[in-house]
Amino acid sequence: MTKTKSRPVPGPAGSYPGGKDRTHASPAVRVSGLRHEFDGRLVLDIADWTVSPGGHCLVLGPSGSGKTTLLNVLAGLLRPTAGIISISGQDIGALGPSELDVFRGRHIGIVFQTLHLVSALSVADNLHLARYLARLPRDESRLHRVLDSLGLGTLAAARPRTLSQGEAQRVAIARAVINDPTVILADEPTSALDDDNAEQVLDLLTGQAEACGATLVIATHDRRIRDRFGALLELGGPE
Amino acid sequence: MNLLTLSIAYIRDRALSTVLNLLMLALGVATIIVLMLFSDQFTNRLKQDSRGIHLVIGAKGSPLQLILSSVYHVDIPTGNISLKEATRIGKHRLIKSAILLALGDAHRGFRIVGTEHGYPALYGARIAKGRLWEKPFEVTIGARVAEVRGLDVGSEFAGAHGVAGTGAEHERNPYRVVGVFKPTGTVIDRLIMTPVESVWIIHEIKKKHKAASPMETKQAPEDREITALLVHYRSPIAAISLPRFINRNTGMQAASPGFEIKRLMALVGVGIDTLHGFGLLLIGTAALGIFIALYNAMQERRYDLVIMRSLGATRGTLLRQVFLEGLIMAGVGTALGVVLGHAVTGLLGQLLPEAKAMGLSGVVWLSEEWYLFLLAGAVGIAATALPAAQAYRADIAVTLASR
Repeated sequence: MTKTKSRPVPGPAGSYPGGKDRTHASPAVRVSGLRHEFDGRLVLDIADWTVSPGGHCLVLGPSGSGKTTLLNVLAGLLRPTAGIISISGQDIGALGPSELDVFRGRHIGIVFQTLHLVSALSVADNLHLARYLARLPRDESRLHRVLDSLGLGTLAAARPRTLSQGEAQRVAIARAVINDPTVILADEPTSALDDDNAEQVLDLLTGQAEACGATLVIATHDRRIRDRFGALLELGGPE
Repeated sequence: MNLLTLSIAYIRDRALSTVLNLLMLALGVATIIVLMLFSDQFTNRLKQDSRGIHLVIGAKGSPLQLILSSVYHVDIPTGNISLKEATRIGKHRLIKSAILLALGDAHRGFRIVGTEHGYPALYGARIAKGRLWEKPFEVTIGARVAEVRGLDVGSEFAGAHGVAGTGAEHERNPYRVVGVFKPTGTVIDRLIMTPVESVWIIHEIKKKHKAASPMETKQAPEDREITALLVHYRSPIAAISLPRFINRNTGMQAASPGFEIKRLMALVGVGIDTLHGFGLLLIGTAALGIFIALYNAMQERRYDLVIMRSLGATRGTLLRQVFLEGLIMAGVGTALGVVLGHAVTGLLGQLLPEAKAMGLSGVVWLSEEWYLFLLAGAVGIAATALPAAQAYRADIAVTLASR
């Protein structure tokens, strides 16, 4: 079972440059009475946790503490054993499977630890695919804005297998923000990076989250980045 | 971006395996198409060549041989029959018309048929150049004979003994071309037609080893023989009684082209069915190939599928995408096979003399070919079902955790 320590700090109020006005909205993320068991073992136990709209929160903990499980639960990729998860006021547990998929596509952007770009598609098509699957119209201008803001303007036609690790990570971030999500979830985005690159990736993530007014939740065991975040949810190691 | 472009992107991403699987499916379909086109056109040709001929009367022997030699001109005759007896039968009340045929000679692979003007008329043959034969040793030739042998009105040639035209040539009694028929798409195209008297004179000379006037026969009418009598019934009732009457009460045999061709097709059909089975086996192998390709692709892409779910794709979307991919492969493979099958059939029709003579064409569409697309759809769905089910059932969190 994991122990949790939370230090919630409200996110910045008001509107965000280039983003949506999410002032006075319900908490971007609300977790209540969350418990998740795996193979009869309790791997996640969070009594109450919220993140304000536009806020940035770090979920910190060692390997096996349930960070990835928490992100999967927040994304609706995993149904918890018990508890309520609300994203922008929507109880995602109340949604049917297809509704949940659609909700996820529209409201949640995910940057996985292993980037998982679709290798058969170009960089631009990876982003177009994200909009298509979320049932959003193709938007070339938004695509180019996002790619340019991440320094990927010249790589739109490139295949993922030709990209460097850093470029691929930026494409994964671009894909997470292309649908203008409410919440961005990033799993261990800096774990394999040196200090400088870790800083750069965090700058990109926070910059993109602010640009679209999204709430950013980063799960990591990387204590180097602890001080960059005011809000913290610390998960203990497995007992 | 939509499911179609996504499916095409995935197919292009594994180009080699896609091409090999498509090729295998196309070969299976093409094999079936060639067989379908061949058997359809062969059957049609057999029907066309026997149109208007209800019964063939000839010497006793194999009835199929009689039909093949006297209607289709592809086998040696069973023997000769007496002209007197044939003429007597030809006047039977159940017979509307009867046409004499006298075979025995040929010119470089094309048969010389001693007959009457009613014979080309049976096939609606029309003169392209010159006229119909009138006197012995005048011939009117089919379009294919003129084309292949380079004969034209006024040309002369010697017939050779034997229906293959490879025996001794009757050089002292040359034939003269007086007319050429327009192409008919029937057996007429490859025949050389002359009065029956020509055949009698040639063979009378041969028998007696003495010179005779090439323009007349000294043989007594009661001794004359012909090869066959092509009969057109006056009424359908004749089909019941006439063949039995001839076979029981005369020294001749009567054979029905329709019946014998059914028998022939039953024999040939075994071979065609075997080849059909081979074609289906190729299609089955191709289906297995598509299944293996998709199955492996799904294993490699299980993270892609999870990512698509995380991007908002429903299980149904994934299911449709995988099915679409299989259907595209099956559809394209089938379309390629259909094109290939028609092209090969057309090519065979140009390259093989027998196929050319038969008028085998690749530019023919059979309604049965649509069923091949239905079959392709079934193949696509069957080959895709398991990979699609895997994509549908994939547990996102478990798959991600396994990475």
